[in-house]
Amino acid sequence: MVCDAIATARARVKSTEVLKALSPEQIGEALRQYLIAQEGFQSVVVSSASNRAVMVRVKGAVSFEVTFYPQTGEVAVRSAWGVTFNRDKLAQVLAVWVGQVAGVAYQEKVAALLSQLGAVTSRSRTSGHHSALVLKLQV
Amino acid sequence: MDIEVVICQDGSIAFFTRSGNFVQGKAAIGNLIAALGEAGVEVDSVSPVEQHRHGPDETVWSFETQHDH
Repeated sequence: MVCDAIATARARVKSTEVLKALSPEQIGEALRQYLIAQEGFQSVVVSSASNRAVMVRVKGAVSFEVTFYPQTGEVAVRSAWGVTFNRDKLAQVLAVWVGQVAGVAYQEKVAALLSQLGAVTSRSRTSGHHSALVLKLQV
Repeated sequence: MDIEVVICQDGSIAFFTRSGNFVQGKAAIGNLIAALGEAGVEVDSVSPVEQHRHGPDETVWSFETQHDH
């Protein structure tokens, strides 16, 4: 007796496509919340948001401007004077943060589309920092 | 046809069928990926649909009918 065969396949979209799960305004808000909640900055505003670039301005003891490019996922940090903090490190952290927020939004977007293609009989999340969303679909 | 879909945050999606046979599963997965593409989830790469068998070790053997010369 042989058990039922199982068919499997793996697909992948580009990380820049995952970023599209967030609107420019949502990206700006994600950056703003991170800088306030995680880095402790108090005066943080989203100065502009478009598909080309999202700009966030921080004012305080250290003033700087963050520009996020949704089409490439790159982050640039420009300070008003001198280098008073590790701009490259901050840019890296911000890029990862936006990627994670976009990742969750992307999971929900794909799940919503799948629910239109079949009946969702089960939905769960794996544990861990980068949890996967697991759907059981009847098509 | 039941399909399990694992959606990761990095853009990877894995598909598993746990009912029917491989041919049916392959078609179902292919149709689902195509439907996602039409809905706006463009995949950059797709692995070939693979077949996996598993169960108790003693069940994987096949026997040919013996014959005398």
